[in-house]
Amino acid sequence: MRRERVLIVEDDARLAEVLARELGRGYDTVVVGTGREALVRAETEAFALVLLDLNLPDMDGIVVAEQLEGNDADVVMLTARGDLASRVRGLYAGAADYLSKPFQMEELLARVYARMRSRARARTGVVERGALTLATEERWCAFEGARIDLSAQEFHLLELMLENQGRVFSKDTLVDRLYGAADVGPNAVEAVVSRVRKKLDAAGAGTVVETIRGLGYLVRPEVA
Amino acid sequence: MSLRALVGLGVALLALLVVASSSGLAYGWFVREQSAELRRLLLEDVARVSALLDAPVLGAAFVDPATPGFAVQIVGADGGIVLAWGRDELLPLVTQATQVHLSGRRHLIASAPWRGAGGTIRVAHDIEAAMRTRADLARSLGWGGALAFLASTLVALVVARWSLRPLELVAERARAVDPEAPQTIPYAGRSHEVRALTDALNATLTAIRERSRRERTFLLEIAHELAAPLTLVHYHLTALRRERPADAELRSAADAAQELLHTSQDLLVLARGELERPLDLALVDLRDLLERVVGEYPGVRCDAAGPAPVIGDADRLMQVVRNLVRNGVQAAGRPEGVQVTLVAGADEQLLRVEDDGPGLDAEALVRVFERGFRRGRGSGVGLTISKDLVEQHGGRIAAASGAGGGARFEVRLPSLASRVAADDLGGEA
Repeated sequence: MRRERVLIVEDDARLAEVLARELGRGYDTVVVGTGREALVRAETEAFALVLLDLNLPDMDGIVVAEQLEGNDADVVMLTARGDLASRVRGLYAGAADYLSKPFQMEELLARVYARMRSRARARTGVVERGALTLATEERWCAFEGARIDLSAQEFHLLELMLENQGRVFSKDTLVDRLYGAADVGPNAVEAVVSRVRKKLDAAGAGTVVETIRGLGYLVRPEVA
Repeated sequence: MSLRALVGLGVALLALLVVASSSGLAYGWFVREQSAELRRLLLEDVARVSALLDAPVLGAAFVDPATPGFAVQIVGADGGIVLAWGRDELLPLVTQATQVHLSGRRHLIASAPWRGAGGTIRVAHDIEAAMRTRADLARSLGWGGALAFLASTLVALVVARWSLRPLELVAERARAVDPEAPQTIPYAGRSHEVRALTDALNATLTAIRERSRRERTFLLEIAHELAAPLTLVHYHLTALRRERPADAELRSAADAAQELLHTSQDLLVLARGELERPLDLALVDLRDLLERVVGEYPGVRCDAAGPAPVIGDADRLMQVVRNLVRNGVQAAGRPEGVQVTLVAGADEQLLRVEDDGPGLDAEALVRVFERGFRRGRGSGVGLTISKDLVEQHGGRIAAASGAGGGARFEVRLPSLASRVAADDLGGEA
């Protein structure tokens, strides 16, 4: 089987070497030391994941991260600057991961593996939770084989929450992800959640999307 | 004393002074003019009577019958009344116009010689009405003054309150300034003094903010410089230790590197202000975190019932658990002296870390979570951060003396169940 490729963007040569050695056990790695090189490589070659240090000698790592947004590769960001990390997280909200430096290698590897696993899952075009199936490519939803009709917004919400089971989504985050720049309030999200719940409940799936008081919504991973 | 009361009092005193002096002047002027007029009228009458006696005019009367309270007496040389109008009792002889009481009413009397007979002419004017007018005036001035005084005091208080309101507003906003990130105080009013005060305050706040921004930037630079070497040292020592598990010196170095890494993570959290960063919330099983941390400190005794699900930021909760366990191991001097217990409850999850170290004295129990308070070998920030993080998660942390004489730390976090809203299907279920 062809090995996945990882692009390591790190200007500290010693750290880059260690990262390449560790990730090299499971993936093909490419190391670059500048943002410009990173963008050129990411543009011309296919990577599954970009490990991006936000503190680069030639350009702001945030800018690199922004330009990588349309890229197929997942992004895991490394930074010693927490303020940058929070900005980036606002930018991606679930589409990327980050880790603060200094870190333990096991932590980093765990993040990378988790990203790779969810990537592999996404490639099948199907996300599941128990008997609930969401075909993200073919755009259909079914519970125990019976189709459930969902609007585009409802599908998007369920896709996001099923792909990130266990994660709490605040209403603000959901407004961002579902409506982007459109000027809608949290009420719109509440309405979508309410409709999804009714449809899932009617199909017999029970309570899938739970309300976490004051914080947002959660889809619990189904315990095996 | 408040500035408002001071201004009010000042204006009131000033008003009192103005009202009293102007009333006094007006009253004095009135009394003087009135007295002079009364005296003039009396002396005119005396002169008229005197002239009539000296050279009588046909048809002229000594007394105008329409004038009430007017009395004239012509007294002979022997002191007997020759002629009297208006009054029969002998009027006293005076050398100049004099005020006297006659039958209970005030009169002004005057005398003049009766040149023809060696007697006297005596004239009296009833001035009771005029005196009443004078008293009325005094009363009116008194009441008017009092009213003016009250009104001006009231106006002064209202104006003082109104004009000092911007000051209170600025004080209110100054109180609301967050010392961690001081924002300037807005003031759009027109008061020059308040604007000057606000500008001065804002200049100070801006300087403080700028300074703390520079300090933070500096700390971030240091953080960045230290991050890669620390990661590498920890990585290499841990790898070497795995290769040579029997090497005691290597184990000591690897432990120290681990220590350094975690302490620096704590310090960086403080330096970067990550505590103000929003938490990355997810469903977290405290038992998983606990097992991972206990794995980092072989020898620590662990009694974890579970699962113990909470809503939280896994990285941050991990930091809390790690800090508590590390703190216990440091206090006990060995991992075997630490007992960790996790009790999963319906409403909250209880994590207890007990050590058999020297324990906490009364002062330490109170101050153990304060920044910079040191206990044993600890950096002093771990527990501070843990407290902040636990509270950010809606939980509580407490320190107590353990049963065995050591210290006991208890963290209570709201359980997942307590956070799930019951009306999930909006009444449709």
